[in-house]
Amino acid sequence: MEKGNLHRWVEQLDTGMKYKRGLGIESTAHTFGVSVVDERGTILSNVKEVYKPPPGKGIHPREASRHHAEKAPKLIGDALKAASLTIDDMDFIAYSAGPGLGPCLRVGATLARALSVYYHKPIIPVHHGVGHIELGCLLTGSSDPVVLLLSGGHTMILVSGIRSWVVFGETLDLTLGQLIDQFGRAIGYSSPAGPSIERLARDGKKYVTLPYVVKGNDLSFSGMLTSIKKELSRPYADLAFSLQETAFAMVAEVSERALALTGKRELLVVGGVAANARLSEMLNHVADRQGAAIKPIPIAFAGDCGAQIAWPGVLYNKAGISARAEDAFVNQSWRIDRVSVPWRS
Amino acid sequence: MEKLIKRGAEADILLGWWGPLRAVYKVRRAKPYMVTELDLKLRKARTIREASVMPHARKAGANTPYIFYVGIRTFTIVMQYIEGPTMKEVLDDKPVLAAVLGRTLSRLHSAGIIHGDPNTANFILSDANRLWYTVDFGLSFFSSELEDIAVDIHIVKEMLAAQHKRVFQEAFNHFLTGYSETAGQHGLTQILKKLNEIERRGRYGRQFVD
Repeated sequence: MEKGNLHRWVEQLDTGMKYKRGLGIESTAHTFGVSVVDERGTILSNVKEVYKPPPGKGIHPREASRHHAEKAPKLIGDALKAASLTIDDMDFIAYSAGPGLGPCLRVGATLARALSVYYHKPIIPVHHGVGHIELGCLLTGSSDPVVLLLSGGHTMILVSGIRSWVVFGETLDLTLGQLIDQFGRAIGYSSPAGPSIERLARDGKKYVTLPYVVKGNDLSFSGMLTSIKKELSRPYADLAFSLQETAFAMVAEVSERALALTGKRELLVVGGVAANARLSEMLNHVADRQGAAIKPIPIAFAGDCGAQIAWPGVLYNKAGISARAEDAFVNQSWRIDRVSVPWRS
Repeated sequence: MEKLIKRGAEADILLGWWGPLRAVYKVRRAKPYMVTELDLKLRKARTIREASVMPHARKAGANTPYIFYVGIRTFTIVMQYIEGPTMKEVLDDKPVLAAVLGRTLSRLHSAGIIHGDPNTANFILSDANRLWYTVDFGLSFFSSELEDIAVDIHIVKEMLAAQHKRVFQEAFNHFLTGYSETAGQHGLTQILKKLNEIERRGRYGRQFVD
């Protein structure tokens, strides 16, 4: 018996109970991730493989799904092994049901359905964005934050509503991730281009004026993309710098508005773009000015991962919610404010 | 001396005097996290915008505070102090007040003014004369485009859903009723059609409009 297993066995003996736990499968876009999380919120394992498109290209959904299908069996095995558990120990199978790229989502969903039916486990569809938020709350100990959700497909500010997350403000067109990726692609980087653009921006000196569009609590980035594509004769470093400064300032302003208007005292930043150091610096200022605490999520969990699916799985499982395997579909354009989140009031 | 009464996202609001009159000093201070060029450009543009739109808004039938002084170089506007509760504080108990918001906004829109930030915190019920005042025109602009009008309505809807979640549906209905009094049923229908289009746009467009 491995040490981890023995330790857990002794622990269970101590408390006289078995903690419920489940498997989470994330496959919305470039990441295929698998994780086992128990009901106390202990992440027992979290493994992933990331599909990397060729330089200057975006994610090709078919190629990404092929990548996921190839890696999936081994990753599921790895996740269980790392947790020193078997599939029989799982109390549920959770998967990312959307939003995302159809072919990628279907890899995760198909696997989840197969495991669920074959091993008689409840199946739980999880919204990718809700996953980011709930995992963020778990890891940072936030209780009632203003959430800034900056994943590839989302640029949103949210607050908790009645059994749901409510959009406080969002982009009206492109997301911040799309803006960065599409600019990155135009100058020869592959998606996700965030880290490359961030490095490039550090050498930028001259600020190029770009459209700054804030409408109430909403944002618009499409004008910025159009105008930066017309400036490609300038040094790329200056452009990357100006893009970050303008786009992040817009995000910072609406975050500050959300804090000022709601009076909430926590700002939780989740999603892949949360890893950007310049953005964090700006948001730190914002939180400071509004007397709020910024809750940075550990870098390892900022991007897509299985734990963001497994943890909401735990919460749904506790609430007694699961789907029938024949209804466990994917929804490529599932809106976050239409997701039932029974543990939020 | 002026006293800080509110720190918004965009400006500090100070309470002081202008001669014998109570006055609000709205000061757009430098944001240390922004690149200087952008910061200066935004503060200047918004100060000028706010000061120039407010008198037009009053002519259009929305009460706005009187402006006493505008400092372009200090990014300061000194204006009449309106004392009283904001709609944000009272709407949850009295959702019918959203009709006032609707009426005011449609008056502005029909005069070609987009408020840009129609938040319930920007409507104040004056203790002195029991009239509703509209403030904070920093994001406002002149336009009669259906698109701009519909975005203004979208902001109202989103704001009511997020900040007045318990009375959202009722308040939004009152808002639409109030709005149609000036805009007419036909005008409202056109706008709602555009609103639907806007909400379907973007990454994960709303599938239904409630």
